Amino acid sequence: MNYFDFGQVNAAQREAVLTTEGPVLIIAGPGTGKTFTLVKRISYLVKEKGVKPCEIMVVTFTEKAGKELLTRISNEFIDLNLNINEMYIGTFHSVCLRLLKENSEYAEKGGKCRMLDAFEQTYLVCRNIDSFNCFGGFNRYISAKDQWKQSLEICRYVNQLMEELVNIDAMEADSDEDMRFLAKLVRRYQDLLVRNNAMDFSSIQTKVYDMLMTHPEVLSKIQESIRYIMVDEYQDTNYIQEQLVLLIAGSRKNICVVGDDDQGMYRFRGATIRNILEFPDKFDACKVIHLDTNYRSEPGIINFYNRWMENSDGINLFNWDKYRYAKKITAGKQPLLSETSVYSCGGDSIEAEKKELLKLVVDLKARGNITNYNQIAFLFRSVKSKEAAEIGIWFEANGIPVYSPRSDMFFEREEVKQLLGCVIMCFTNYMMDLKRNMFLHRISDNLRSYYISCLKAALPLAKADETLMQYIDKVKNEIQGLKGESDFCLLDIFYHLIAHEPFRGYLKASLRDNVMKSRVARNLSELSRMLSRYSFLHDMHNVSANNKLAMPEELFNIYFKYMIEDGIGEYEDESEYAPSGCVSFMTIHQSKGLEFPAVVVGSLGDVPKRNSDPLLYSAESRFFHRRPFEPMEDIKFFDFWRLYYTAFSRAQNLLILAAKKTDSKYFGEYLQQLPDAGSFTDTMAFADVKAVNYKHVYSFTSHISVYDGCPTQYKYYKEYGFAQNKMFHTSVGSLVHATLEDMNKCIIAGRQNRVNDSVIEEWFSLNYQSMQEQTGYFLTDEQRENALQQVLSYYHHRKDELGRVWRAEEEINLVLQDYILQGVIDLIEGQGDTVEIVDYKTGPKPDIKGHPERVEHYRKQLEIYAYLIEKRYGKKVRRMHLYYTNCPNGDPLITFEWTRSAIDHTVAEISETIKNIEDKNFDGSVTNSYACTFCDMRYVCGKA
Amino acid sequence: MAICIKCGKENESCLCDSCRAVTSLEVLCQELTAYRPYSGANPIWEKLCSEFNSPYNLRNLVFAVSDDLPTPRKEYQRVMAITGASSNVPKDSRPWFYEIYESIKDSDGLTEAEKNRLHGIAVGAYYMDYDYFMADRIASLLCESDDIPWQACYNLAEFYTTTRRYDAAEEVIADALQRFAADSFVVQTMQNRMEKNTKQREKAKAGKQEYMPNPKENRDEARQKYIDFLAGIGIEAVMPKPGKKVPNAIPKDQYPDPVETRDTDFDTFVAFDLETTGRSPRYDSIIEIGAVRVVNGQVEEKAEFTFQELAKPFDRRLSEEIQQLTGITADEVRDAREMWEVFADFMKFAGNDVLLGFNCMAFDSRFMVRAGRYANIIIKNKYFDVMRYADQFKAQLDIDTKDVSLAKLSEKLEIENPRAHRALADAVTTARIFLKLKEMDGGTDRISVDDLLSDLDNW
Repeated sequence: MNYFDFGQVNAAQREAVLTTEGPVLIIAGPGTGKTFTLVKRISYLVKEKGVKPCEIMVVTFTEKAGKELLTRISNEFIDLNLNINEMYIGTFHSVCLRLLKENSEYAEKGGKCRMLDAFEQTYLVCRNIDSFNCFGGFNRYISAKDQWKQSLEICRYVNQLMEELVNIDAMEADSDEDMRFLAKLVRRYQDLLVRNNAMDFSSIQTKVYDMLMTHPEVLSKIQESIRYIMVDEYQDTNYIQEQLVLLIAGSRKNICVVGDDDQGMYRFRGATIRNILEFPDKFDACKVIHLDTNYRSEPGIINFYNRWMENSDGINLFNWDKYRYAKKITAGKQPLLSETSVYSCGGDSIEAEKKELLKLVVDLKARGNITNYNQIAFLFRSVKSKEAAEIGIWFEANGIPVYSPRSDMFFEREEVKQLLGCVIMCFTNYMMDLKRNMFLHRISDNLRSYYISCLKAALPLAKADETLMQYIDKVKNEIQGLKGESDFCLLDIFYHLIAHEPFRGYLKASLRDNVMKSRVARNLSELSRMLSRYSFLHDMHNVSANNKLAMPEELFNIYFKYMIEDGIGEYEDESEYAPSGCVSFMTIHQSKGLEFPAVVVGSLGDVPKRNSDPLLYSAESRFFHRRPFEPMEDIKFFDFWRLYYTAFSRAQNLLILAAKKTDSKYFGEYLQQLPDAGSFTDTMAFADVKAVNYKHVYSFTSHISVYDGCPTQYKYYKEYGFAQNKMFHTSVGSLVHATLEDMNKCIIAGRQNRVNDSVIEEWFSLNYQSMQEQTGYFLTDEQRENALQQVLSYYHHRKDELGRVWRAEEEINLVLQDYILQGVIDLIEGQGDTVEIVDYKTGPKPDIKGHPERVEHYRKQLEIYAYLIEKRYGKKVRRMHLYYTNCPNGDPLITFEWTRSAIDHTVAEISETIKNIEDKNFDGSVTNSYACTFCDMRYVCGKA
Repeated sequence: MAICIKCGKENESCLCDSCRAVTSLEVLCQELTAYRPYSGANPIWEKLCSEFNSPYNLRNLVFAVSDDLPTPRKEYQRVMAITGASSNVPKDSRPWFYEIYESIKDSDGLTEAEKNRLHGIAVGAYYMDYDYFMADRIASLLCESDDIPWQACYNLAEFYTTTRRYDAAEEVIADALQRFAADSFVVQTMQNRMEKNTKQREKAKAGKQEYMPNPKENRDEARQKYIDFLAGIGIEAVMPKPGKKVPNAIPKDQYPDPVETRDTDFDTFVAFDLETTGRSPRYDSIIEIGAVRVVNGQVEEKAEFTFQELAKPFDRRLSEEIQQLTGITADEVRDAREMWEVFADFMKFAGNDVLLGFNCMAFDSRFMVRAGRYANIIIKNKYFDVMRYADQFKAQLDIDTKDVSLAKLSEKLEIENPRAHRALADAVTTARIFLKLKEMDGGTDRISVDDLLSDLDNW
């Protein structure tokens, strides 16, 4: 028997790993090996307890944390034939989305709605603000004056009420008009969602909750299948999330929640600390495990933040009372520094402060404490604050690059202004309106000046480059003279524009450098996605005589106006949280879960602010399922203390409090007791920045074959994420695929007798409808009829073999040493240990007589699938088929025989491809000219 | 943390212990109920007022203060706080009121006058809920007393007027005027009541429709109750003929935005203009549509080429100001067809031609959308806005105001507009202006970007 490898767990961690049954609360202070413990616990469950991955649900706070956790877990399972992707792992939203998908027949309109992100949700409300601001008392309840902020407020109310599962009917009938107002907001908003066939983030959770409450059979099925639940960052969960966890755990109660009540900081999103504080009370017996040995920070830092939390030498403004688990973090590591590790740094003013901070950073580098600026992080309450901006500008001016993707610089970047200017130049009327300031949708003087400054940034480019000027004049005249439909859209214009200098040059940045170097190209790609989303949201695709006036006006005066107001973050590389060579500026909230060798905490001028809302507070008192928890008057102090505790505990070797000596009484005494950073002289080298271990998922169709086709195209679409423009040629294919999938799933469910022509037609039209709603694209009647015929003729042709279906649309993820290989197999047929696989092709069937190379590529695809099936299910694949659905005459099948050597060869080939991708080796050019036909970058490459 | 409403010090509840010891809770309740926000009389209360959503919510504090009062004093003070100066119970609080009223109306803890006050409130509440029989029962009871507070008199009189018993109302008012002659506020209030009663009586004499309930919901039911009650006391009332049914409108977010064109390559079009009750497309309504069809650049004001019709204001009154401006009178529009009917005919007249208007993108097209929604007609025509077009000729025409107006343009282009602010005349003028400007137009189609932006620095 093998022994389970516990790694270097300490006693408390070991207990957390071993306590698998029943409710467990793990209170894990900062740096106490929480993730490590979770990984070991999952590993233990699978290896020692024989739990299948699909029986485990792990909820993380962000998608990124989920992916990281998955990577670390997968390292425990290399060489085991386990589909660890079957684990329900991710945020509440993504786990719920998967539950909805898996049980779509029970969920109300599950899966068929368009998902709105936070921006789109607010945008939807804002575009329909008339439906809300007509309510009596609107201006009394909604304090903001401009429409975007009003919409944000409305969304905040709506989301929170939904997530508290408030009974809106009761609220609507209440005698208090305040409550009726809130109820009306929710109702109106829900109508809006229904009419737009959309679903927002918070309704994903409510939909799952409703599904579980109204369909006991689904609930018991899920309770049967998900046997172990783990929730990370439990202090930042809200009411509905707690309810979902309790519901799914059912009578087994195998719930393990992990968190730190001292680090709760998402109250403004409806999170409540009581979930973690009251967790043990919900059960007869709940194991409570404290992880309080810290392996991250210098003992001095730990002492400092312990004291901050004890609030003993602070100003005694409040008492934690029962609102905190008593704890004391102890150091588990020997100190690195011989000197003290917490300092203050600053001066009398912001001027002095920034100079002192610069000196500090320079000194740290000069003394060899740090070798790379990315070992330092600056934490602020907001990176948009004046303090952060001043320091950032000062640093950059003095040659220290600052990485601050959320500081709202996007629209200030030169490349963005240049491109927007070029787009404006394509629309004569918009230019004239801008000049005369005569708009239907009026804009502020500031915004008008901004667009004029875009023109000023762009005009010299056009003057310098004759071809650019010619292109703009050509498009401009074409639009101006347009009588009917054109054959181009905004994105076409965009891709033509970036084929010119200087944009073309921007795109050449090497991705092997750090993220700052490729930021310009990233920002252009962001713009392409914005334009693409605009076309969809405003239902304006090709430029036409009807929309040529409205298109630019709504783009700039509505869409971008709100984007600018909302603030757009720049690209953040998930696999590298502190780009090499830059000092990171981030918000304290962003720093959650991270650690840095040196941390500078700013924003010490802030004071505890009351952030509760009387309207919501009275809703909470009367309609939430639980009454207010923490005392109203203490909340601001609790939140303040928790926030800075989180900030302080990010530091590994050195913690600096950056403040103007005068600024906040809340830090006053702490600052005065601290030595000045100037007295720090230690020359020990600090820790390195933690490397993010991240396994990427690669699939044959969306990665390997793209790269094999053209590495450059891969770089643009996959690495940068440029928006793909013409999707028409793929939509027939996806429609055929989706309908065949419906059919196969129906057969697998044992209802083959249900399948007939009219049922297929029904599936088809449902799929078409949802495709239309989700993409905004339409097919011509002819295209539709053709697509439907493909499905029907498949059905007629294979009627007798349909019963052999074993799996359809089967997603297999194989975790390998460096990456995860994914394949989605259209069809697996056969019984026993030998199967055959089929992949549907909707394009024309090539003539392969004498030209086997024409399907060489697909042969590789099938061989990879065969490899995945073998690894995952231990089944041997006998034969592999391509089925051409669009082949009315003749044999639609092309069949390949399985051979070991061919498979091994292909696996070796794709490993090579993936290695190239991982190394960001995108220099190769196109290998088949077909790849260029639909590629938006063909102008950039000069292949058009 | 609350503050004590007497001394203003921070305190757990709304009245601190030391103040509680020396304060009469009932008097405090009365003071709170009677307090006029913004009067400045009590700085602590002013501060409290400013923290409420509505300053009058100060009265809600009575609910807290009265908590320690015995029944029925507690309930009585609460009812007073709810009704405030108006003697009316808000709709949503009526179920609550009825319950309280039943429980304390015969209680020994209330004086005769207080009971009568409650009865008066009940009369008002019940009749406003269309329970006329109940209101009448309480009213009769109330009339037996000699000591009716003036507030109850007021409610009583109002009830009588509403139920077409003008003599009875007058009697109650006269009685009150006599008994409260010394209180000028009461006298004033009762005289106002008397005036309203007289007005109704005159309406009745003139054979005009008297009062009839008109709730938003369940209107017919309420009216039937009213008619039944009147029949019971020997007054005949007839159900008014059902009003025009408002058609189901296309939802706002489903209706396409107006489509504008700025191409000038057409000379057959429909110039139109709307007169409306006001500026807000959301609340105001079309009262006239006027239009002229221009064929091959020829403006002919013959009947077959023109369209002109008044429309009944929808949901909106025709103000004096608009009557003055347009010369359209309230009487004229009263008998006009509904806006969506007129609109439907107008769209038949307009066909698929370009709709040419003055400031029509910012103004008329939005009213057209509203009309289109109610008429269930999607407007597919393109609009051409002459005001926007004219803007580029400002220099040529020597116009230096920020906006060009119809009057200014017709003056500069020497076009006569005999009846400005009437739809047809303005439409004809708009058409003529467009045709003249078009002759002056050099065209901007082929101007290069470079030229267009030559003065960018001065934008």
